[in-house]
Amino acid sequence: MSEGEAGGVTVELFGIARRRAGRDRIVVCQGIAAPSLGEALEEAGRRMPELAAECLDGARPRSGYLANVNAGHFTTDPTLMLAPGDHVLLLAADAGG
Amino acid sequence: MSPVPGYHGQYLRVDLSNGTSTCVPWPEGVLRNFLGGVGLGTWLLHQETPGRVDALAPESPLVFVFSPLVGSPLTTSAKFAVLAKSPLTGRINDSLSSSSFAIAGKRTGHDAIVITGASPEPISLVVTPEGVAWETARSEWGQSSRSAAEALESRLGADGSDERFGGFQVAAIGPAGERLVRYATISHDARHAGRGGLGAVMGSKRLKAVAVAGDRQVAFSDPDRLVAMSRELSRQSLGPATAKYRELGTVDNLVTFNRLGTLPTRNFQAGEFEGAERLAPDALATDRDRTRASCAACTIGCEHIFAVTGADGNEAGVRMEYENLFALGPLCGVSDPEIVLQASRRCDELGLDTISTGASVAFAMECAERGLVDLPELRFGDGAAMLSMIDDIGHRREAGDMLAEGTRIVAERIGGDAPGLAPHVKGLELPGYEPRVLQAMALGFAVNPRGADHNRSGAYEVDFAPDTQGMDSIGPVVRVEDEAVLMDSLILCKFLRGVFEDRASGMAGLLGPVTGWDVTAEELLETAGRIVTAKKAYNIGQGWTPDEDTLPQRFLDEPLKQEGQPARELDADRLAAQVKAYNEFRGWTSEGFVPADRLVEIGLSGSPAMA
Repeated sequence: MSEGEAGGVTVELFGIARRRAGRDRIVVCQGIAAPSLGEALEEAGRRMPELAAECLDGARPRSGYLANVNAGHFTTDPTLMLAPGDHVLLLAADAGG
Repeated sequence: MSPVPGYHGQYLRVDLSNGTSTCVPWPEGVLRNFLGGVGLGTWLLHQETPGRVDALAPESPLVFVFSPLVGSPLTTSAKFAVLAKSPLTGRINDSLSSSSFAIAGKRTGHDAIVITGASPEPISLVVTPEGVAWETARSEWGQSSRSAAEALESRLGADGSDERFGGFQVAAIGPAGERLVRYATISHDARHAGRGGLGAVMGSKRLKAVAVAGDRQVAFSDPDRLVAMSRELSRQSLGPATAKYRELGTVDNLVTFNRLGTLPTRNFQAGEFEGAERLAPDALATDRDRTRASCAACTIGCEHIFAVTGADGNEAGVRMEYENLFALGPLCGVSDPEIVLQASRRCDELGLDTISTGASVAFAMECAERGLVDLPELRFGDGAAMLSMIDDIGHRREAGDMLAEGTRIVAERIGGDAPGLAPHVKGLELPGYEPRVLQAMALGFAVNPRGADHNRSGAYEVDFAPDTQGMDSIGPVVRVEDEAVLMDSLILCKFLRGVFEDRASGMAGLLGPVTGWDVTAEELLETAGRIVTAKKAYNIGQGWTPDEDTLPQRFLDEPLKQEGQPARELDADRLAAQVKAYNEFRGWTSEGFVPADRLVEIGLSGSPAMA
């Protein structure tokens, strides 16, 4: 974990989300003690409008996308509480191949 | 009586032993009950299999099946199914492939082609509306499927007789099929009916290729509505639901799965691979050309073809998907992209299923490292050894002759700890989904009639569903399996899944203007249950026992350790309870047998395959 990631929530981007954003991660919600998933995604969308346009619907993943917290729980619930240091993975809901 | 719209109303039966062919009309009700593709093929296997047979015996039928949607303007509908008893599993095997062979095959005037018997000499079968012809295949025997197909197409078209039929399309086997490698493929236009060894069934009949051409069109019940629905489906197919497939291809799964800890690595000893980023789609394209292609009648264009140096030293192209990338890369511990692309290309040329090939090599690597077999040249990460072994498997040379049998048979021969390490269910090697992490998928692997497979059971969708942890997964696992069997029977590409708000309703809406049937989502789901039960009944007739519906011991005994995560464990008792619950959900006995009254209901009581 980098120094920049330590104080916030890291949103990691995969697939189309990574391609649209042109980067593979962003640290958000720095200085917020108990951010929600919705706050994390909204900030990511504000700072990366190309990501928001295709992959986010405000505080939620858009249809066809979903979030995963710390490579464990899959969710689209914007009220889910996170902690500083958490990693939110934004990825396509369709895993087929 | 006119055939049902969307169908020709008959199938072709060819006996290679005595050189005869006959057209057989479909009995009343069979088409609506089994649809086409995998469903209709399952019904045909029940009728055409004379009791319990060896998969490679002449009397074991090989079935090519088209579908009611083939020839329609519906996007992704140019697909065909191939079915037989698998020489790898001894159970039912249905495999799909795509493109112009499906369209040309249906234009022969048949909804399916059943091939029985065996030829004393290598031959190719030529089917047109005018009948069946046999061509010697002596000069093509030993060639790759692509070379053999090109030679046959050229020969058949030499006198210009194919022009009125729009040219021949060919499905062929490579050297691996000729040598009865138990996971040999059947290929058309570099697309493969890949899993379960159907190429070996074709090879056992000394049938190098099947060429089809024709001009017979089926009627559609409501052409105007069908065109309107096709336009709408095409429009949807270009939307965000398929962006991943269009822009990145399924190879994109590799990096995502690695991060989720579900990327099988070094024969399932780990779920993360340190070399994954080197095999990411953009990394693969850094130093080489990448082009896109699509099957006939497809608007998605999911195929991503990478330039690679071929065996002859010339630049060639290879279609890469997640499955061949994972199996020939992380599963064998190989991270050199050039080696992985070459390995995939070599499998295509030989006619080998990439998943089973990679799994067989990876299994042998682990056995060698543990001292269970004397193969000092095989070590995880050694790409040159992997390439050499692929050639040896395809030609059944030296240790490759043993690995050509598949991991289950090899493990039984090695003995000791080996059977618990062999990554298969019912003999079919696992695809790239780690079942200790994706535990709905673990159930899907265990119960599927074909064996461990991600295309017949898409239960990973249940694992990926948001906010469902702790829910009973049986109903959703059944639902995605039913949706898959419907897509495989109609046939539509599974990459369309995301465009349907409700898949069964969407598919019912498409079938109506083709056939004229007033079909509902409820009827289609009932049909799906009938087809899955028919597959199960076929397996029972061929010797299935309940102890086959589980996972290899490794997954039940060894927790999967992951950095920064608690170890992932698959509880054997829980899995067994889920299998029991699945069986009961299907209306079978808790052990998984199909009750006699259910066989009567689905019209398969007294099926020859169960005699």
